[in-house]
Amino acid sequence: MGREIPNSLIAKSLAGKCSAGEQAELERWKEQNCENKKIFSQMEKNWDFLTPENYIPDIDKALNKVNGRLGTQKPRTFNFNRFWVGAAAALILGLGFFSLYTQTVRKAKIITIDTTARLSPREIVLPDGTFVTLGKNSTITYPARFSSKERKVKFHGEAYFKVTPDARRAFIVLSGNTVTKVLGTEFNLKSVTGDSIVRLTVTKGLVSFNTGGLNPNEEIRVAAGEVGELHALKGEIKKFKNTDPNFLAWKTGVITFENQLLPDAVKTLSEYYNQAFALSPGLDTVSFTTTFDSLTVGQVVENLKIILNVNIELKSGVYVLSQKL
Amino acid sequence: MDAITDNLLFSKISKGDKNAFDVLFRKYYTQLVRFSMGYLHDGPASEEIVQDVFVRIWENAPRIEIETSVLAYLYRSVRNQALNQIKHGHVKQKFGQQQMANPDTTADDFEEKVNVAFFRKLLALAVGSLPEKCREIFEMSKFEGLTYDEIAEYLQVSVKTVENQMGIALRKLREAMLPYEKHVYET
Repeated sequence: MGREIPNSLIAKSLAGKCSAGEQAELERWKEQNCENKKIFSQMEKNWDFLTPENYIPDIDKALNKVNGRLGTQKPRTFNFNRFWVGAAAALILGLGFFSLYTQTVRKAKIITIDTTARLSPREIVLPDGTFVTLGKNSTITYPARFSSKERKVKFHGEAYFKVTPDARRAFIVLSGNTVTKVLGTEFNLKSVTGDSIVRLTVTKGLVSFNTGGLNPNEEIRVAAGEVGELHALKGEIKKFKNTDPNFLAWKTGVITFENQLLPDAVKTLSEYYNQAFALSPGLDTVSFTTTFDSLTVGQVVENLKIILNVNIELKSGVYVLSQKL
Repeated sequence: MDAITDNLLFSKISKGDKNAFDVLFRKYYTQLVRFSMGYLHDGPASEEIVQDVFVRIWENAPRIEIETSVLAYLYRSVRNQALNQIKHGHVKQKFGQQQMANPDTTADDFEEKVNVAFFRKLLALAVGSLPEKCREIFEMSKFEGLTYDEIAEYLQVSVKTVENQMGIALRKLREAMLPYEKHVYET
């Protein structure tokens, strides 16, 4: 064997698949010099780091949990007869989940707007004049004409709603396992990771937020400056003061940090740019103040280098921040 | 054969057949959670991800197009979700919390464990950015413990190809970690 690294042989050995002869060949290579030994031990360490822990999930428990998130039997087609049975049952059970298609809506056209393929937010006006800014990777479904009793939309993703006041018809957003109900107000709604977390941030007025099918009695009222958050898997709903100054950054393009700890800032940036950042140990306690207005991720990185006086390198698609030596 | 059964299940699911959903769930849940462990090293987080994937399937089945096989779709979804979670930095935090809950850990231990979480994160992302075929083979061997013969048969390639790709994976992972050589390998 020459000076080349026997990568495949090392892999085979680490995976425990070497024959005695191959193992001996590898040992001979390792003994050739220190460098070889070092390379082997590095690969071995990576291999060990990647070993998954033995973990056996409880399928029944998991399936129960999932069932709780699926609602009841759900209409899969726009077959309204079949649907009606489901909708009636849902209403009786107080789920109100898919009653988007209520009586008056029954014949109305259903419109779905999906921004998955878009790079920037999209603004739409609903039939009642409500203004919606729809973020990337979001969908909203609403009837071409709202019912005379209520205004119901189904939504997934992130959006800012500026609801036209109408005291007679509540404006209702169904998202994940939540029901958000208002008469006329402004708020930001975000459902994260497959709807398991739904976060409501209110900017104006008062909004009722409840868990829909999960626990119909659990309702909270969220006022301007507050956040209502539902964690579907834990089945818990909570309310707290909004401390995230950047909850509208996706819409405005402006990101502000004020004495922000670096780990939190990096989280905001990675969500906003959908770009991975990693901090090397030791940077966790750094905090800083700045504003980024409509910058590209590259420009942000250049700025951070100067503000924080750190090294930032792009490694395997991740911006890694590390202290200058 | 299995792929045909899965496709049939999937088309039933798109028509709202809850039994078909349960069958698919039971068939692949454990396997997918274990697969996700290779990336996340966190049982509950892995379960959460796989559950999310299934909920999405139930909600969106009529609009999901299965290109290769249902199983390939499941794996791809779980991998993407896991990598997303790593990118958005939840993993390290969770790890930190676990440590807090365990008062026996000394400060040095803690420091080292946080480092391990950090390296694992970098490694997971490096695995995620391996060339597709290479990544698939590596995942099957490392995360799922399949033998080279099994992998070769499943992917319809030669055992030699599996050996080579594993070598390439190891080389690339080492290259990705070299910048942290001091921290990673000298602890």
